[in-house]
Amino acid sequence: MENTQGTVIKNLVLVVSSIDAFLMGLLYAAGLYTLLYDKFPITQTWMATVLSTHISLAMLVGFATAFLFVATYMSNVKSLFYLGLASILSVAVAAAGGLLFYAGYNPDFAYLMAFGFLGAFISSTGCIFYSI
Amino acid sequence: MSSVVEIYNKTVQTLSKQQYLPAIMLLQALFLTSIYAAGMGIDIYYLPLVGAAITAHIYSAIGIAVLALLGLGAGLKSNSLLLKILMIMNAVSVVAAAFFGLIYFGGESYPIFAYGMGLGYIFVLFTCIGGLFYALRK
Repeated sequence: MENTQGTVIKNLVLVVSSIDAFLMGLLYAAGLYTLLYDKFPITQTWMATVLSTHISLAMLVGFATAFLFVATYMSNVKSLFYLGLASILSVAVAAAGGLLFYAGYNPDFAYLMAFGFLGAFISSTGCIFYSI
Repeated sequence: MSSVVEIYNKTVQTLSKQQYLPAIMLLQALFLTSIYAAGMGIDIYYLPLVGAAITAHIYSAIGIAVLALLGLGAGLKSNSLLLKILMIMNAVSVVAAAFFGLIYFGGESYPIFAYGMGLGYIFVLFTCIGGLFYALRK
């Protein structure tokens, strides 16, 4: 019975981390487009659309990562839990960096956001392949 | 002293699984971090395409390409189909990212080529981390 439950939770980690990494891929695509094409402060409608897509995906990634953290906690596998913890902490750093960047357009915070993303993507991808 | 040797032996044992794939992918992940740091630095801080940042970016790219070839060899020799697929995807993504990067650096400095390079990068990172963790588990 316990083994069945463990397998179900491990499968849950696999599904949630896959969704999380997929959303992060889309988030990265929208973020890179924003970085390469948008000019801050935003003046055009299409620039606002791209930025809004990025922010909406960031919120979805936040929810998915929180869910992933809970799933890794429930899995009772130490390595998976540490990966989930690293993922949620990295997402928190990236979100803080993004919000601080938008508050004053200081490029240092955009750099912080980029590195937070890197940590989160590595951790979520690690969760996928560790739970297969 | 013996504990240092034990740690060394344990590390070597872990990293040498699946034809040394974890060691190769760990090194590639470090190069991927440095290429990201330099590339994002150039874009975010509007650095010119000369100087320390672009040099670090190109040297990291060379390291990644060499390690992708080594990873491809190790992956194809491993006994896992998923690892073989991951390492082929890794090498193809490196070629795609390098293709767009070289066009961008070669004078066609349109953002779409930098975008192609960036998208190639995320696939390289995904396959590299996937290969690393899957080989560690196997």
